[in-house]
Amino acid sequence: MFRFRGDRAREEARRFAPGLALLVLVGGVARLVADAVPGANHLLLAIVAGVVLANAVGVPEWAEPGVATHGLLLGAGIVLMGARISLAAVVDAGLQLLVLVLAVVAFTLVLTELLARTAFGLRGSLASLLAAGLSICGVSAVVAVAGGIRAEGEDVTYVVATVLLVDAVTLFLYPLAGGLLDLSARTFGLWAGVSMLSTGPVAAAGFAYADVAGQWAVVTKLTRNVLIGVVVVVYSVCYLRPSASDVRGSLRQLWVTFPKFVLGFVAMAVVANAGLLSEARISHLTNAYRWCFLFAFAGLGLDVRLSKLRAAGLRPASVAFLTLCIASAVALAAVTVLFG
Amino acid sequence: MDASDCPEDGDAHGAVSRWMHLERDWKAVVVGFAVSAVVALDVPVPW
Repeated sequence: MFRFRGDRAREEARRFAPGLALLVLVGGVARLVADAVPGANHLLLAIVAGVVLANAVGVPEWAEPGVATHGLLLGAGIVLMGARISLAAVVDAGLQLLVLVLAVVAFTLVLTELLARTAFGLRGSLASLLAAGLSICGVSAVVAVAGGIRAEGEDVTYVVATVLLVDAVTLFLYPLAGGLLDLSARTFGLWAGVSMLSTGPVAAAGFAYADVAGQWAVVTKLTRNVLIGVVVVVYSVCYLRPSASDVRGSLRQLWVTFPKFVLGFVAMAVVANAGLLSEARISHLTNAYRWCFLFAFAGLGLDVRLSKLRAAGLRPASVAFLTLCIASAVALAAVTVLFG
Repeated sequence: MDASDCPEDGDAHGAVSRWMHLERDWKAVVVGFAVSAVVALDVPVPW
C-alpha cells in the first residue's frame, strides 16, 4: 500500500497530540487556579495536579507518548532560558560557582559512600548508585553509573525510587525553607541548584521561589550535570579495573552522558548576549520558556507514581535523607561563604 | 509498499525518521532554536 508524503509525520503528530493536549490542559488549569488564589504558585500547582491525576485516575494509554515529552519540553525551556542569562554575571561568578559545585558534589559523594557502607551496611554497588544519584543529577546519573559499574537491576530500582522520593519532598520543602530563612533569590537558586537532585524539580523549586532564583538554580544545576560523565568514568575505573580499550570506551561515555542541551543553552546565551536579539524578542523568549516549563512540570507530575516511591526501601531512603540534610546544610554554608 | 520504497515520500519519511531517532537532548536544542527563529521572524504568537 502506498503511503503519501507527510503520512508518517501525521501519524506521529496523532500519537503525541493527545498527551501534549493533556499537558496544556493541566498546566492551563494550574495557571488559572494560581491566578485566582493569592499566594498559590502555578508551577507547583501544575506538578501537584499532575500527581493527583496520575495516581487517582491514571494516565490513559493514548496520552502516554505526549506526556513523555515533558523531558524534551524542559530541555527546550532551558535552551530558551539561555536568552535571559547574563553571561557577564555567570562569568563573574564562574570560578566561585565551579568551586562550589565541585566541593559540594565531592562532599556529597564521599559522605553518601561512607554513610551507606559503614553506618547503614549497604552493599558497594547500591552505595555507589546512591552516591551518584545524590551528588550529581538524580535518575540520569543513577542509570549512567549503573551501566558503568554493571549494577544489578534491583539496586537501580531501589535508588531510582529513592531519588524520586527525595525529589518529591525537596520540591516543596526547599521553597518553604528558603522563605523561612529569608534567602535572597540568588542564594536560594545556587543552594537549590547545588544540593537538590533532578533537573526538573530544581527548576520548579527555583522558579517557584523567584525568576532570578530559577535562573541561578538552572545554571548551577547544568554545571553540576556536566560532571556526570566524569563520575561515570571514575566509577567504571574503580569497579571494573578496565583495560586500555575499556578506558577509551569509558572516555566515549563522557560524551554519551554529556547533557547536550547545555550546548544549546550556552549557544542561545551567546546569541542574546552578543546583542543579536532585541529586548522585545528576549521578552517573547522568556514567555516561551515559562510556558515550556509549565507544561514540562505538569508532565513531571503526571509521571510520578506513588507506588514506585514506595519501592524505595527503608535503608536507602534513610541514607538519602540523612545525607541530604547534612549536604544541604553544608551547601548553604558554602553558598553563603562564597557568594555572601 | 512501505514509505521507504516510495521515492516521492523519501524526504518526508526520512526527516520524520531522523527526528524520531534523534537524542532527546538534541531535540530540545532543535525545538529551542525553532521557537527562537519564530520569535526572530516576528511571527505573532499569543504567549
